[in-house]
Amino acid sequence: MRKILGLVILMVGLALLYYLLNPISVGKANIPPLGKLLNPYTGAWQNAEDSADYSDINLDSRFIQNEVKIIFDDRMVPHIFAENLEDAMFAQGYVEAYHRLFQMDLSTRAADGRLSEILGVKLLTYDKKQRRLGLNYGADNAVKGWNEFPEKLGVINQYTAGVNHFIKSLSPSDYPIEYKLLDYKPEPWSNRHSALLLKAMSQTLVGYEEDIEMSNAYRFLGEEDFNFVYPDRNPKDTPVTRGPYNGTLSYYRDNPIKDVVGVNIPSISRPRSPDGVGSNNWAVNGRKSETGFPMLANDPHLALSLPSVWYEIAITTPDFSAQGVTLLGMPGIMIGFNENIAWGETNVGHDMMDYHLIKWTNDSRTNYYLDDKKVPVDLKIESYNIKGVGEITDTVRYTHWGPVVEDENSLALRWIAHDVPTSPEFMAFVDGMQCDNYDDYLAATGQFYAPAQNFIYADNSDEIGLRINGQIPIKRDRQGVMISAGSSKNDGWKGFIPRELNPQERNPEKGFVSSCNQYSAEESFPYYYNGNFEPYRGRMANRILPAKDTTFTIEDFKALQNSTYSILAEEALTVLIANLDSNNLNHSLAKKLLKWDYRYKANYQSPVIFDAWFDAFQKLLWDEIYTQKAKVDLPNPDAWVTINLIESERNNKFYDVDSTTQVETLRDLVNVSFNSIKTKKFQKLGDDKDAEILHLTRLSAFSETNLFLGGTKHSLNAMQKSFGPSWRMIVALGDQPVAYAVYPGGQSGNPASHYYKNRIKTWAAGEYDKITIASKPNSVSNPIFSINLTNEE
Amino acid sequence: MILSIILPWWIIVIIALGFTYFGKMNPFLSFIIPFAAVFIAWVASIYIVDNGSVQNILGKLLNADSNFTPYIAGLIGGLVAGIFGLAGSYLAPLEEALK
Repeated sequence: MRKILGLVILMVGLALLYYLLNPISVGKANIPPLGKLLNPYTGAWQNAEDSADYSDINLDSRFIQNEVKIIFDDRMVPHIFAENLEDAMFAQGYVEAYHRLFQMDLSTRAADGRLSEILGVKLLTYDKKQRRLGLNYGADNAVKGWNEFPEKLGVINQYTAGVNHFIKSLSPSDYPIEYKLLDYKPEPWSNRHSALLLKAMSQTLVGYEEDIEMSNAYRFLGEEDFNFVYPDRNPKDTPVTRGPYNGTLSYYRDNPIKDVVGVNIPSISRPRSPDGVGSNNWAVNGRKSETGFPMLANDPHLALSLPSVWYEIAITTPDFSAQGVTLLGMPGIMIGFNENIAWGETNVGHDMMDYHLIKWTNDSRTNYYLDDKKVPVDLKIESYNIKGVGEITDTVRYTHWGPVVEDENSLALRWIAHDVPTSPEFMAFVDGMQCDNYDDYLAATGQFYAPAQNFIYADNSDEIGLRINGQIPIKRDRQGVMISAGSSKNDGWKGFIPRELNPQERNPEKGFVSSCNQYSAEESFPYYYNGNFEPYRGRMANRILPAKDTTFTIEDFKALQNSTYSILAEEALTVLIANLDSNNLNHSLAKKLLKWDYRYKANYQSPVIFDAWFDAFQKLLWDEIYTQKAKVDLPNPDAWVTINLIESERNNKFYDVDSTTQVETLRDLVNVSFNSIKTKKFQKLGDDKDAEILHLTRLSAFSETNLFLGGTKHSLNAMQKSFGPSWRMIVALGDQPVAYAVYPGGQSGNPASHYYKNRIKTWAAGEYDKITIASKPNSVSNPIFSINLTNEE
Repeated sequence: MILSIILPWWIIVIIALGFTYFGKMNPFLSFIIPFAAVFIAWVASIYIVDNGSVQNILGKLLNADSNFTPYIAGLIGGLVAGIFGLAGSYLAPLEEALK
């Protein structure tokens, strides 16, 4: 009996031990293995970080030729001092893994459709969509392309070696806390991982399309109304570049697509570029700068996350010293400055993601028609190793265009991210950061393939420039706006615009260059392009920067980056107020709006009132669209279309609301929509927005929430709930360039580190850190600790 | 505590089991001694390695007062050791247990 009791207690103990060593699902909650997580020897406690942990480290590796010193300053920015570029790239890979390994791992898994391996079956649908979009296919093609340049591979191989050197040094107690929570181990890094991160960036920046929704809209509205509600071009736009342009008018520019596929297709849920993605940059020459030297500003707008998407780094070799932010996983500095130049990017926003309708020859969908021939698909078996479940497979059909994303709708995707690059694109930022003149910079960044960006530049010799850089497809007029036909190769892109003909400006007479995601070029540009273009921020920059006889200061640039002024609100409200009845004009909400300065400040109520009113107004104006949206997906008409209409036309058939018997006028819509918001209570913008910066796993314990912030999508400070300026940088060139920069996060990816989110407060206040290049180890300010790398032999 | 640094943390299970199997203790002591030993060792170790930063995070993760998190960890470790200690006592030969 005693022994039986002993065995029972032993079984209870073993059961308890099992659940402490393995994760448990309780309802929707997944509880990590608490024994692994909470024991003091290998668990989360080992991730504690304090000043005692910052002692100098000596490492050796056979991949290093000469000694490399990495000194971390008081913002935990690593300053790499190397004797040659390849050693520097090893060090870059090492420090990025040192601080951000989990982020790099999770981001590559997300792109590769492998989140369900660590997060279980609830992420399987997401993984399947990612694989069907073909990011992994694109990454494989990227590596294939890179391998065509063996003489350049040393750089990225060294970066990979650096990451792996760090990974190999880890024992389980050293794993980042997220690995312990999710109960898995780091895996070795490869060049393919770097390619996956590049594809993830492509998905963010050139993952826009509304092909299905636009096709539905065309069928619903007919050609005339479709062109009215969804015009290709905003006549008020101030494009990034002005003509005249090189090159003759493309044959395809004036030869629109003949096959318009106006179909009724239920929209498919698919990962697309998130709303709000964009950026600002501008540069003024010495004549327009208080210092007499050019100044450059860049603030990319992305989904804000913890850790931040950016990692700040400084790299010095005998040939150059540069500092700025990197795109984790890719060698080089993406946005930054060196002793002679400054550079940055904004998103071009062109549509390079086109769906083609496949005509199958058989029910099993193993063959399709292409140029009147029956062509077999390539069947790719995607295998998923799901945590807690095991392996399952999914078959993806690949066509001439690309993968068939949704079998039910027979749509195959042609996407620039799938291409085999014809240049060593990973060298663009590596070579670019070393340049000291614009011709060399153009040559270096000419290696960049995709996603196309507006590359901005300024240097100490008073050159400024901006080039739309990357591969841009040659399209027929209006091609890609809707679903394209897919039965002829002629339905596809006609090649790529020769790089030298991409729109660009170099030392323009106006004295500045700028881009805020608006149209790339005037209508006289020889090639057709479509895309997702921001209608107001560019106009704001172009209101301020051309000011004659004005020299700009650093403080002016800071104010501009933080500007919450909304041209959209200014233009819309002018018409709305003018059409309010007298009793509504006397309402307290209207009185507030009348006094409003069109700024989206956090402590203002007026922006929230206006947004609610304008939203209600648009829903009334476009009631036909919103009613049809309940049955089939249509795009929302753009706000600028609404404003241009109400500014110019007192009468229009779209003012009539279908569900009423009377024929409404603009005035009716204005007052009815105002009446609908009169009884609502409105918070201050900061409370209403309730901004947040979430950890990659969405765990609130690792996130920063309840941020009281201003800004709006269409103001230069484009802060939304969780999208916004992910890095703000201003560089004043000169004999000793100085930069002012900040991002909402911290260098460390360890939630237990002081350096995890220590810069959020500075960023939220619109303040900046001052940065000067430390070209020697002993000039690094307030060093905390260093890592010394030597050759193993 | 020292063995846990070089061996998996659940070595406490084997140690507790062996200690009480050969240790000839009554059930109460067989539970309480391993429990207390591991509880104290774990809590002490936590306060040595953590400056409070991990306590804060774990408190948020576990929806608990962060000050209690080291003790929650100690309770878990202690409970495991205590249960296996108790099992060892009952599995030991009877005459040895009663001595």
